[in-house]
Amino acid sequence: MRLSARSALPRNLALGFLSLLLLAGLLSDWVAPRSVASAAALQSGLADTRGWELLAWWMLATRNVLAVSATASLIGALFGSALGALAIYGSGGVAGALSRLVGFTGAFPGLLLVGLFRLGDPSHGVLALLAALSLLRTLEVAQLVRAELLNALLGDFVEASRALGASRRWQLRAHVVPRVTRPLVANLLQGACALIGLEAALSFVGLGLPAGVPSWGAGLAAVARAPSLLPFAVAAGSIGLACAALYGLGASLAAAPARSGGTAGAALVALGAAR
Amino acid sequence: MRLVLRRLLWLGPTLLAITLLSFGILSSALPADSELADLPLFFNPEPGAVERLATQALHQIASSDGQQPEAERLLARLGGAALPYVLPALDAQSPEGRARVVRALRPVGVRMGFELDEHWDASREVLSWTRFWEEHAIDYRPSVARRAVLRLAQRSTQLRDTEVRQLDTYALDELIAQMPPEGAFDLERTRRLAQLAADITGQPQLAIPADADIARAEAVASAWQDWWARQRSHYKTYSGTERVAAMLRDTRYGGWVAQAVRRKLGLVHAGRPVWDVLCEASRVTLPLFTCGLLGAWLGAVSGGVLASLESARGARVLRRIAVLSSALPVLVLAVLALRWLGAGARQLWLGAFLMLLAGAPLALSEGARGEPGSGVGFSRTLASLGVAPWRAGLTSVRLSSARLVVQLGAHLSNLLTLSCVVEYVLGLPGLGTETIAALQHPDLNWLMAITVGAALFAGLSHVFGEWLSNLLDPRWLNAAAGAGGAE
Repeated sequence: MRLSARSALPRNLALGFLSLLLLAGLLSDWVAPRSVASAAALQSGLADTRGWELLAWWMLATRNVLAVSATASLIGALFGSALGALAIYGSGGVAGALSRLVGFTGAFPGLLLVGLFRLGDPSHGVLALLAALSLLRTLEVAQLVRAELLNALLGDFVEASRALGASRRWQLRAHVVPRVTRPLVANLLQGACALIGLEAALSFVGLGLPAGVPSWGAGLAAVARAPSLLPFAVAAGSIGLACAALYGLGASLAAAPARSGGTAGAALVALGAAR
Repeated sequence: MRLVLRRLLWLGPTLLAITLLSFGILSSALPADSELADLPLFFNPEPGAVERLATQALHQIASSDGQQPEAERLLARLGGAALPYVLPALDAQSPEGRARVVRALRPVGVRMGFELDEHWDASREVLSWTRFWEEHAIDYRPSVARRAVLRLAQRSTQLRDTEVRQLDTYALDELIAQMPPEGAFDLERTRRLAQLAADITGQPQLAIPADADIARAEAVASAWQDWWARQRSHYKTYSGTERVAAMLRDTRYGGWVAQAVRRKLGLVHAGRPVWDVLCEASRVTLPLFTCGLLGAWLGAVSGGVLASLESARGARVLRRIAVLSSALPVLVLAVLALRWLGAGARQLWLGAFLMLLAGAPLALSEGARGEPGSGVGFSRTLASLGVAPWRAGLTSVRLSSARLVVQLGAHLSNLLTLSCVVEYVLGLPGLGTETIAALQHPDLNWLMAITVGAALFAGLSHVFGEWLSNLLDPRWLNAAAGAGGAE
């Protein structure tokens, strides 16, 4: 019992921190406007910001980062799942093309992809950022879903249930969906961690959210050489803790005892990603 | 091997498709060069537009009652190249129309060395042009223009100079073709031809100064070729196969390809060839990227060895290291280094060290999932067969390397982006810094070069990864074929 409580502590801490971020994001609209007139002014003057204004900036930045990461993750999950499910029906053409596309996109720098999208973006960054991040996530999720579905559908238990007269719908509900859900959620959590890191890097170099829109990466760029430590610690700590919390949750979910077939599915993901 | 060869053969068409796609996106997103704005993007259905443009301008000037400044400017710009279509059609115009046309041709006449008096009666001017055409129509042929320019290039005399000047823009094709110097002794010839082209087109900035050296002459000749690649379609007519080729060549994409071939992938904003900048910046980026790969390999090997030991404690430690490393993104580490070391952080070794740290978690994360992996069964079998632990360890390293190679395709994008970010933060002059600058202040040539380079790299790494993974552990490829991934 003691051991179980100890092992659950990091997970609970991660969940608590993510809940705090979510709460900050939700409350930012009520808190931030009362403290500052302009978010852009707050972002540009971050190096000298203290107290309430720093909190307001952090809440706004948290809201923006969470919104971008969550939207890209959701779009990636939806389109990726659909694409991955479709891909198993075209073993040669669609699956091969999907594998190659993922392999190719995997080696194409995300920075360049966002930059190219951004050049034609009328919103000066938001749409380009979302489109590029969603594209990267969609292809990765599609590959994962395809591999997990293939693994589950080819399993002996599915064959057995078919022999016993189970309908395809029942098989999907009883065997396939539960086996796909957990790796998918773990992947979404770890993918969200990667998205936060990528968004921070892009905003840092000026290719992320539009100038003046608060975000952790842009905040880090604003205080990178500033003498005051607090704003830097807030920006850097937010990125690091959010990444660690998401990654840790994903890792603990992935490391939990799997149903049969889970590990081979992960191996197939890796195979598909490299092809 | 057949698979690798097939993949390599597919790289060519893939790269072509990517250059077309990237060029289309970049050209539509970036503000077009004013000289290129009227050229089609990929396909020119009507190359060699001088006949159409000249006839159009002639009719506009001749048929309108008032001034047609646009058409007059166009006719003056087309110059000698338009004369074969304008002068024979003069007789068909009304006397007023003829008068307006010859007035529009006056700048051309001045360029050609005619002594035209602005107080002249229009009919006298028409007569002068008509006589000129009767005498010189035969000179407006490509072979004659070529001979005249060659004679002038060999030795300059007043007569030869006049001959070429009288051809005006009709001689530009030959003038520019003959312009590049073949050695230091050729400086005078290039200067002569460049001066003539500058007089004809009204571009004194493209003349070669008296004190210029051969490098300057080469640069000017190259600038003329760039200009001609963009403008050629306005001064020429094509027929036969040349016309078919011009349909693709006289486009914005064709212009970029020609410039890329002639100018080492084009010029960046600073005026240096893209290839030179790429080579220079690669000396920074490649070590960083290699260190990232090395970090990933070390992470994969340590993760693989720990996983093969089947130690629950080892797996826990690995998971904690992976979580800790995700809490310290390389961006944050690089900014910390910058804050701590200030200008002293601008060191390649520091960037390489950061990339080493950044690469490891990419592979560690796979091992940290706590999956037994493909190496465990192998290690158990080896142990039961009495194989020495160090040999079992080596097997683990090989299997972990294979796993890394297989997974690397998915991580290359991250590694490349991280290299760019580290360079940017530390202020290292690598590919990432140049690319970020080119994205902030769009530079078509650099962005095209880096896109094609990234695509080539992606394709090659894909093929190489497949070959290497098959070499290290052929089971991966067989398994992939079973899963429908391979053909």
